[in-house]
Amino acid sequence: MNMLLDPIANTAFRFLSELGEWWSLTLETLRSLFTRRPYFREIFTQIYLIGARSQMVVCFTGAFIGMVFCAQIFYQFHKVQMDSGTGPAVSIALARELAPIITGLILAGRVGAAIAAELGTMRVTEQVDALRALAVHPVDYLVVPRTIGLVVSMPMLTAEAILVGIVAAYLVGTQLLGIDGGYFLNNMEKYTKYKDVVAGLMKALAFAWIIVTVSCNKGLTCEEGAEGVGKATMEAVVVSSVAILIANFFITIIFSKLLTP
Amino acid sequence: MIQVEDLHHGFKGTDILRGVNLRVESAETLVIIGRSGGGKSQLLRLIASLAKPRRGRIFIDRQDWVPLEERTLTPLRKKIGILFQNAALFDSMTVYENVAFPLAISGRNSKRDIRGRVEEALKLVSLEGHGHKKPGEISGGMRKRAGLARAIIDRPSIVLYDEPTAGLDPVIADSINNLILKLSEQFHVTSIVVTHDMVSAYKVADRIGMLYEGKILESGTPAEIQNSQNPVVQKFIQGRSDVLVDI
Repeated sequence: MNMLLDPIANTAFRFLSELGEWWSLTLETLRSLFTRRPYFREIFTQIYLIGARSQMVVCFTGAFIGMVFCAQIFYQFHKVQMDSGTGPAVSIALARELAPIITGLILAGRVGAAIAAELGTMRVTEQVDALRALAVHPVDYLVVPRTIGLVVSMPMLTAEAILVGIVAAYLVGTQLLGIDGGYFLNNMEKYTKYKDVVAGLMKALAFAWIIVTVSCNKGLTCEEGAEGVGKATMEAVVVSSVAILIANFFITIIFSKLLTP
Repeated sequence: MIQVEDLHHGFKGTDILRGVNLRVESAETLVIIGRSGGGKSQLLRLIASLAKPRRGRIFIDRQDWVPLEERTLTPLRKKIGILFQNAALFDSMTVYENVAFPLAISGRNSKRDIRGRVEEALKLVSLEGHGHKKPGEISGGMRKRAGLARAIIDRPSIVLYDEPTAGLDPVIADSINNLILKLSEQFHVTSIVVTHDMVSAYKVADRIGMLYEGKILESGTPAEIQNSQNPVVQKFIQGRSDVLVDI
């Protein structure tokens, strides 16, 4: 009996203890955000590193997602002679689901991994302790700038992915698949609502918070040595990605209740 | 003044420190010697409040730091400078930025003031001309000296040194010893030095304490320690081993 229950109890204990660590870091970050003097130089550096340096990969992915989604939708809609519905289908899907999810997963991999690895290395080489010894709280100096960096950058990157995806879909639809450009744009404008974009950007904000808190927590609590840093990095990406997908489902349900008249 | 009472600390149920008691007066230098893995570095971390002990009290200037929360401790740590065993320099910054960090982060100093004090600190540890380099581009000994410059630049009243001369050549090691003495004599800095280097210990110490099996086994002036009748102390300071190795 114990052989069966012990691993389950251990896993549950580990999960709850990590959840507790994450929650206390989240509270400490919120507290620091609103009560401490911000380190502006660090914040601008993080906005540049997270936002500006992620643009290329986000735009590239957004473009290809827009193109392939446009083609798939067109092939299905063409069967029932609804070619002109391709535009709105692509834009709504991009705004509500595809752009925030894809941007979230890309940033979980690119930025989340970098944050966990950097903070993990700082922890195991006593740099985090050095910071504390120099009378600087690690949450103020390390976590808050990254949080602001990601929370500011992620909605902008998502908006960029939506825009680039729609432009790419328009080009594929009109130049390759023969959809009338006027119909494509008219129908897209007619059926794509302001709330679709708002829903996507709100999701991006939530995903940014998930990525930064999970990755910072994994980095700051990582185990000793190179193995510990590697494990923390891997876990940051996996946990952030899974949490984004789970959160997306619940946010979609909540928004559908809130934003549907 | 630093006072440690009945300090217990360890990992995974095993106590490494089992009731440490010590007292360091203002402007005094206490050197702690003891075998590797005996908990000397842990003791320094506990005194700096970078870890919480399992039991015991640590008074810094008559205030017990053990029950204090991290947010309360953060500004109090300005009183203490620490030289970490591996220097713990920020590897994303240059040596200059590392040394300037305590001054720059407080926001109280002008750039000109910071520049002057950093140059002075780098000169003190013989690192002039190396400020533009990253920690990865300099030797271990230079990193240690940069770490020392960073630890003392904001003029703390207490400095904790973890193996300050390890990995340094004898000449540089002696200059570090002189620096510790100078800080103590001129600026009345209270110091705790953890070291295996007995030459350094005899030179800088007002008192030497030997940490053995989780407690301070014996404490006294360098002369008293040298003349100690305790076989454990004698074996350590003479560097004698009972283990025979067949080659």
